[in-house]
Amino acid sequence: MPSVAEASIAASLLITFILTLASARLVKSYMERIGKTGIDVHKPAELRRPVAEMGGIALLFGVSAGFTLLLLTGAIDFRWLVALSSGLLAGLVGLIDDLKDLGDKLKPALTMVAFLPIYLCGCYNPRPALPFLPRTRITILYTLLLPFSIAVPANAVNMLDVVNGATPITTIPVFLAMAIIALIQGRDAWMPSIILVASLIAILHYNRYPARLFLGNVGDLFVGGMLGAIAVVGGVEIVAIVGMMPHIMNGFSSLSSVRGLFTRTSIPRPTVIDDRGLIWDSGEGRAPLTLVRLMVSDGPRTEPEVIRVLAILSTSSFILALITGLLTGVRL
Amino acid sequence: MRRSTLTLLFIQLVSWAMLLAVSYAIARFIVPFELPSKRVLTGILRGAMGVALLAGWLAGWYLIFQTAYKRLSSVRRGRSDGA
Repeated sequence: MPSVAEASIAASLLITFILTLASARLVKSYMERIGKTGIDVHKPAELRRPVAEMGGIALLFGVSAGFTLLLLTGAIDFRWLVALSSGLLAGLVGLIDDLKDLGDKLKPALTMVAFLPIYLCGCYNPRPALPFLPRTRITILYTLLLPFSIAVPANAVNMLDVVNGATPITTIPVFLAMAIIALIQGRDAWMPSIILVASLIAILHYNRYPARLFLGNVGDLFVGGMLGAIAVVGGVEIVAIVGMMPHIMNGFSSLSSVRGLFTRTSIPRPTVIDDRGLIWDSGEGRAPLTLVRLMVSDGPRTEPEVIRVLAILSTSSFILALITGLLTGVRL
Repeated sequence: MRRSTLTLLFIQLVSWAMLLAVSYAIARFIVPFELPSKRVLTGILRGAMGVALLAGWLAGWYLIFQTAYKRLSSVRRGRSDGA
């Protein structure tokens, strides 16, 4: 006989999954009706068609419902409502950006505001665990870095969402790693993490190759924002950092190669697509050195091949994140 | 598995090893570092060592990406020259 806590977790997961799936369907038909669509470019010319955008709204509904149910049944406490508000704030910035382009500087600046609920409610512990250092005390540094804790993962997830299913495929392993390490270390961050996994699996049904729904900035910034919020509130920062290695590699390599912030339209494209749907390195010296550009730098790839490499990199970072999480318990 | 996939996996592993090395260096050298009766100077030196480690890590990472890209694109160019 399952306990009340187990039953409430199972019910939350089920509701999150079903609500995300149902709202994704509604968002898809609504966006198609109002013409809010984008061309799916990484396909052979004859298969390039309009796809409904802003599907990430479904994630906001599903995750909010799951968190609310967990909160009402007492499985999680008030801190997780604060984490959710940070994620929702990041998602709101994405929603505004989807409707009215915010530009390459304003969007990251606005996502920085999303850390405020966590900061104002004091839902963080400036003593993060690092490998070989189970407990550090970096109060000033931690507080100084806090504004970036939501903005960096949110924008990093957004930057890597360039092929079908990229966001769910690359973030599910991070949430899973955080859940497993939190469970092993007796932290409650595992429950919010698996809620995100349930929601992302549901949206993958519509977002996987060939996508029928794009997550949009609203979905990417929300998922990335939740990643940062769960890592900070749940005290699993280093697991999230290692799990997000593909995003960090993409962000660092892109930003360092163009030496600054950019939007997809403000600089030369890193890759080009031919009529057969093959993705090539553009060969442009001023274009950012993105992860996808590195993948195709030794020859062209199709979109499913790029997705497969992303999945391989995410699986490998999942394993590394688990090892890192376990090493935080090792004292020298 | 293609060369670029293996290269990216290798970069990921090296980046992780660098992270562990930085964490180990902090635990082994920076945390125990202490100048007797000079708390402020100890703090400044600890901070400086931390920043130096981080800067070295980022510089190393930047070099890895640039080198990997140059090598991989030379594979592609070599292939198209051959064709």
